[in-house]
Amino acid sequence: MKILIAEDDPVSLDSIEACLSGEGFSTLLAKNGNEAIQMWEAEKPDLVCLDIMMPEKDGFEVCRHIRESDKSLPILFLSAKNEEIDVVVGLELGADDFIRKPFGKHELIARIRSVLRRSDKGGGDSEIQSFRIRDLVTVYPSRLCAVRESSGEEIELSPREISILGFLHEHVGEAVQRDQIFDHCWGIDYYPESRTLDQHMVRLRKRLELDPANPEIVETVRGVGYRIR
Amino acid sequence: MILDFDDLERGCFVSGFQWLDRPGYELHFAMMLDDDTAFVLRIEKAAAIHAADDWLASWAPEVFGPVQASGITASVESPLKQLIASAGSVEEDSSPNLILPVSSVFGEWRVVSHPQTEVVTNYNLPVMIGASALAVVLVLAGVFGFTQQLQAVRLAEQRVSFVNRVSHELRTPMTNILLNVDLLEDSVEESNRIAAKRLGLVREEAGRLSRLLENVLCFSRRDKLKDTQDEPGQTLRAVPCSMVEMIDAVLDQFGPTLSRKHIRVVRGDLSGSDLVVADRDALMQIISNLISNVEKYAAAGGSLEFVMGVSEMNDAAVLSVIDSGPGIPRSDAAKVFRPFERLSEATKEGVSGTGLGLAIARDLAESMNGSLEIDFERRGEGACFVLTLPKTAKNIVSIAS
Repeated sequence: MKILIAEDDPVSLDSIEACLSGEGFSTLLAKNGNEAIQMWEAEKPDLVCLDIMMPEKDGFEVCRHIRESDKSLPILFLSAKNEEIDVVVGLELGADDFIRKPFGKHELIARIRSVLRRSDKGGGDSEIQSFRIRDLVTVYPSRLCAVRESSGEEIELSPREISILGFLHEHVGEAVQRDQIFDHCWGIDYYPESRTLDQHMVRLRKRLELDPANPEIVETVRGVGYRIR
Repeated sequence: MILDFDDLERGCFVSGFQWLDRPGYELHFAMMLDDDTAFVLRIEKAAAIHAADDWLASWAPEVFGPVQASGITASVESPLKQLIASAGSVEEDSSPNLILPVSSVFGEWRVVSHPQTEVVTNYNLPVMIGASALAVVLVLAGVFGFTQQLQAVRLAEQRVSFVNRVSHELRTPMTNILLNVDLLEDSVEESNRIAAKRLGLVREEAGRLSRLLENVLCFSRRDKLKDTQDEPGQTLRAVPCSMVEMIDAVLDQFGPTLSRKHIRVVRGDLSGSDLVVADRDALMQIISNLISNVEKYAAAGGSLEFVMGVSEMNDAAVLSVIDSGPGIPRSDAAKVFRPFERLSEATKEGVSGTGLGLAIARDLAESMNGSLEIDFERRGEGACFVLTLPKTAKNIVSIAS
């Protein structure tokens, strides 16, 4: 899942990048409209987040440029002005959605997720097949969600969470070491703080497990890591 | 032509001649030559008058020359009320001060003299100076007042646009703060309660600031749109959404604040159909403005209750937001929704706010074909705000209309 972010405010750019990569999305960063177009051409991202007021080319121009050759790429506008939103909605730019500044991480992720779902791209990596964990849940990587078998309840998952579950599922029955999970799900270059994985697991369990205190789907193996039985 | 002898007889020709002018007959001039013979002339009256007029017209300039030179205005009128000759320009509406009639059987010629209009000006120096000084002062005062007014208007406009610009500019740093608080929260260990608590407070305050910002911008926009009716209104995108879901989302933001103030949230009967067609952001803004109102005015230790219902026609969902605060007197019903208006301005210590929240909430509700009212019929303490929103899509009008 590659997401291109075009934003001229460096702090915003950095913060959005941190939010998205924390969720397991890979990111491409552009500081202005021209860079955004170059990166879109070179990297072919799965989704584009465009700030509107940018030097060189503004978000509207970038959107028009992309739409000339790609009608289906999901485009999300980040807007600071009501007037800008009027234009996004009114001009038939072909944007999929907009998000009003100020916004928080959860709002941003939720909006990206819903745009991805609505677009024909589906969601996550469609090459990864869905898989089932112990007759409890089925994970659908392409839809960025898991479905509980007993109730049919849909649980939203981030690309990172899907990647963790997928990796553990590949080694079903084995206790997978924390370092291995990091290398696979975060990348070898990434040196996370030791608790990052645990925090991810806490959040994942809150949603995935019926009783997060006594997890059935992903178990903790003391001194080693995690395991799916 | 036969003349009545009586006529001739009656005149007796005392002076040897007589004018015979009888209605229905032409004018005749008769003269007795001897006892048996009379000489009678029939005269065409109009031709005679014209001849006389022509002669007067050619003769008059000669006479009027010196008259005109003396500055007197005079004229000669014929019996047919025509102006034959004049000296000086005669104003039509001026009344003559002298009329000399010259009568004859042919009619009456009139020599008319008009009063000479002469402006007599007394140049009284002190009065002159006083009057001009007064005039100058008046003009200066007028100009001063006008420029002052103009300046005040311009200043007000500048202030509004400044507030607007600043508010817009605040959105980017606000976003950065919110994003980084979220990121920080993710990396703070759950066991670190102090850090988590402080972060929670930062998030609460950031949220409050964002809402304030949204309200100010929403209002200044509404105000601007009321001046210029042609602009499109705030874009509202009506989609089906669940009121209860929105309440939960807003309560998430307010949860920490409410629990700190010991305001108990009561989820009353929420089983009613809660699906409405509304703009999600606008609906969230309405609910958060209502909750923010409760948070400010409901006493600590009080309660905040939500009840869902449907309208009489069953075409709208009705949400009641009930608090345990001091309530709103019926007499203040209109005041509550007026911008900048705040009940009990001075008495409520520690209550902050712009006085825009409810005005905006009602505006937004109405622009989504809904309404926001106060329920005075309800028994018990506290205020009850009733939000009604349609269940089905109608045309969503812009916020300005």
